[in-house]
Amino acid sequence: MPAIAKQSSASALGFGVRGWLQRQAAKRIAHPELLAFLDFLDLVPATPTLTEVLDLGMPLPPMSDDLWLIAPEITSHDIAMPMPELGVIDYALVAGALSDSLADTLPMPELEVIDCSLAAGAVSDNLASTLPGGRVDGTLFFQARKEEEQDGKKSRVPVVTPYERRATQGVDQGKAGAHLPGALLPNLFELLLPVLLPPAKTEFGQDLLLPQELYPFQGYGVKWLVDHDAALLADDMGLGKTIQAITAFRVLLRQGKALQCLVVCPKSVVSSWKHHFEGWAPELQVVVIRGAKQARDFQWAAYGGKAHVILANYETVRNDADSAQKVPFGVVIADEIQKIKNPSTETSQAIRRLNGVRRWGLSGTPLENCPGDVVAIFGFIKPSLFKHEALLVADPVTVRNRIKPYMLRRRKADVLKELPQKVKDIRYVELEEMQRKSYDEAEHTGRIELETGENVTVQHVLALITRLKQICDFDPITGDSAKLEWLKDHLETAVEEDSKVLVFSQFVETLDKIEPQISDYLPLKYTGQLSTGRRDEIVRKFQEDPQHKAMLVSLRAGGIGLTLTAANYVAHFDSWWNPAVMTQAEDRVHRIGQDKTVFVTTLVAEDTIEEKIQRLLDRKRHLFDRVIDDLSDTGLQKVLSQEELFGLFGLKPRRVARVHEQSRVAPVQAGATHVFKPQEPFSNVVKLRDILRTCEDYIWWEDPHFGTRALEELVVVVDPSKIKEIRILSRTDQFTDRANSDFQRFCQEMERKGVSVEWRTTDRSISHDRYIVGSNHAYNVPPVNAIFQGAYGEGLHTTNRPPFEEWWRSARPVR
Amino acid sequence: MTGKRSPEERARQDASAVLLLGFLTFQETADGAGYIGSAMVTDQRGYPLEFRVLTPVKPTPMQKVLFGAGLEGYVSAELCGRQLVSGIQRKPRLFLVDRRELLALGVESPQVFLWLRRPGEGAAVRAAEEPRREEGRVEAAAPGFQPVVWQGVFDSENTKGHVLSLLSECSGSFDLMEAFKRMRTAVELLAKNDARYR
Repeated sequence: MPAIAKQSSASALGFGVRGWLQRQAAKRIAHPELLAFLDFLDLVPATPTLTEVLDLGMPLPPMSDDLWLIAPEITSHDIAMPMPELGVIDYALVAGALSDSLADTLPMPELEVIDCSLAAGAVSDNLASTLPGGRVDGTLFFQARKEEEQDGKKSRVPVVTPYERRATQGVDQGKAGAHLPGALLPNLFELLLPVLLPPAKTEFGQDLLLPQELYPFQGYGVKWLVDHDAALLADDMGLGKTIQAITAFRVLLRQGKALQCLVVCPKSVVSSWKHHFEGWAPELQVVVIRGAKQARDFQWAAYGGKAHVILANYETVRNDADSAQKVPFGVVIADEIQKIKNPSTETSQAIRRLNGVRRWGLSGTPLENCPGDVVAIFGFIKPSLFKHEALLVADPVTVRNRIKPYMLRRRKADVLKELPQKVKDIRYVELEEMQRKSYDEAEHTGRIELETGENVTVQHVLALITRLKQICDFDPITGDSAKLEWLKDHLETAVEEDSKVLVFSQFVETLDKIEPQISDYLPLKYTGQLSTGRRDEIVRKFQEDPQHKAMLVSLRAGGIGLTLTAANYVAHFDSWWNPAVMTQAEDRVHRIGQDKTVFVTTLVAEDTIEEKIQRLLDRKRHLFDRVIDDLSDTGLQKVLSQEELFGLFGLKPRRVARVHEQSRVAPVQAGATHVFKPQEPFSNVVKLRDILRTCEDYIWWEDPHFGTRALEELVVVVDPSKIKEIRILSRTDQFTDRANSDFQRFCQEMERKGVSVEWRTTDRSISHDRYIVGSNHAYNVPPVNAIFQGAYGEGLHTTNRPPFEEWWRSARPVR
Repeated sequence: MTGKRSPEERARQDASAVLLLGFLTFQETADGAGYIGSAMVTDQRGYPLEFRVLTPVKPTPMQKVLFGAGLEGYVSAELCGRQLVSGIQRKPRLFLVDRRELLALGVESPQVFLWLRRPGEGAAVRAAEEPRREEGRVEAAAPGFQPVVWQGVFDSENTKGHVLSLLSECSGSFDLMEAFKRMRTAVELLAKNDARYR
């Protein structure tokens, strides 16, 4: 217990000072110097102690050594310390409440200086990636596979499983958006994206905007679907079943009757559905179930409420039956529903188990005459319809009457007056797995060459594009082809309708590969390699013999001058850059004598150079009024600028030295300027070689039939209104039979277009040039130049000032 | 980002930045031993363009003691927030945060930081040393979404007008507060699949 030390005259004063000191101590401003001074004056009998202060009602809590940071226990800030958290704070508060000086007097154990700063975490890679317009699926990723030999059998197995991959490789290599060949899947992007997506919108207002007006029969189809929970829409192929189903779902969404739709379709049309949704229902969130099994199982659950539409192919639904059936759908659409006509297959059973309030089937294949198939299909659409009545299957009339309320079928003949004469469509297909791998590798390699090569020009880009386009048709290693799968389905349906199909491709090799694959339809092949007689025979056979259901046509050889009205379906297996060339080809079918609507489908491989160019051209068409004129050029390098061409691969054209710029980068302009100088005596003589003298169109050099095709192309691109006459001057002994034949055909076609053509030959040396004379108008067509330089020419010599008129007068007419 | 940007590039990026929304959030790890910060950049429809996560900051017990009540504020703003804002590739003009502490990032920053919350949740208590902030309410432009209350500081009335107009527009496409929920779920999922984020 504390005691009073002294009693003196100054005690009263001392008492007063003590009181003051207490107050100062409480304010934490008691200074030891002041206390010493007071003591010196003997005004304070004794320095007030802590205990005296405590006597006055401010007891100190007992302090424990445990509250101090004892050095031996801490070696780094990573070691956890058993330490009462509030103790230190309490102690600090008490110490502060006394005074700085008093605190200083307390015994202080020696402390180790500890770094208490916290390390900031490392920022992850981008886990969400860039989503190109309207796309939300990870289409860039796929499962890389490797060949393994087990028990003497080779098989392709995934390189790693998703979880192995994450554990061993981390996030870096799976960085979303990375487009590496052989990229591994699934990755964090696929895992996280469903979670990060906003919930699917459920409020849409009352407006239903359509990109184009529906035909009346389509409008009826939409209403019929909306009114039917169980429905089989079995319109003929090409009448727009897809857009009717999409529009009907949009109506149901707005009515609040459905929130989520599942579309099950063949693999070859998944991409096509996606693009149709983009075009016809841009407000909807559409996702595709894809990837490895674990990822897919996760997606089925995670996309619930996150997407309006889920797309899956039949195989996916079959393999994920357990996951898929747990998701409740407002609408389930089974496209090409004849795929489940065999009720005992796993696919059929999986589809029937799907949980859909409304069940719609789509099919262009006539089904009414196959009661067994219809019963199986209605096992999904309306299971109760034929339940326990298997015997009815044998009676087509009963089956037909029973399904009548649930089936809507319009044939083309029924709606012919509503249809235009020609219906065009673009079908997007997703490359097969190995095809994708080959494509990515080729693109990757090509891109590196473009980036690192010396003197890279537009021609190198064009060469790469051609290579990639060929892979889009067929995988060079395995022969896989997504387009071929689509074509087989298409042919099957067309033949069921008793129609014929024309298939165009710019690559003869592509046609060679297609031919054996569709041999059931006895296809005929029409290419430039055939003699004229053989060609005529093929055309006659196709027109007259009903057994030949398909004809494979080289775009260049068969794109002009033929009449093939026996077909009313046209499929462009690949696209030529100029729509005019393709239209010209379609007109083999769509011409006088055709009494059916012509359906033209252009196949585009998704996420490839084909799609990029397609989109670029579409955009240009919409942007520029003049674009149709611009696109009348057949060469891609004329349609797209140098920047756009390089931009297809994410590159910028590199500037080359000025001296090269004239000869390589802009040969056309340089040549044209030279030819069309005002003072030029023969300004109306268009010497194509001069215009394009340095154009290195080496893409075509390896093709022996290039000359033929190039002339055919020239026929297409020439605008007759701008041509007064054409004069061809050639040297007799330099023309091969083939060249003669090609030029003969060229002359015939031009004359058919109303252009006067005259062709003379001379024995005099005119170097290796041939001349085509227009009326002051140049057609800058590089392939035509290559005719003269390559296929029909022997050298590169030329004369600077050809005395054309003089030679022309002395030359002999060919005909 | 390295290298100089051309004026055209800068203008293009600046223009796109105006149309982006940044979201910052901060949560405890599943075991409660640390904190994870995450950022998401979305377009005006709420579709994710970029999502970044920090590896967890795990303070030791001693650090917890020494940082005391200021620990979360320090970790969320100084350690996580600044890292994320500088680490993301796209740079939105507007960042939305669901923690008041993260508003500290807005001091001397070219970006605007707004703290969002539901009306009636998370009382806006202001510490004495904090600057006075403006507060307002955004009614969802589309039916089905709840309103949100925002708090923040603007450098000018012009900025404020732009930001609030953007908020109002976005609120018609998606629920602004829901975006934070997505981020937290994604972080939890990520932690389950990648040990670095546990």
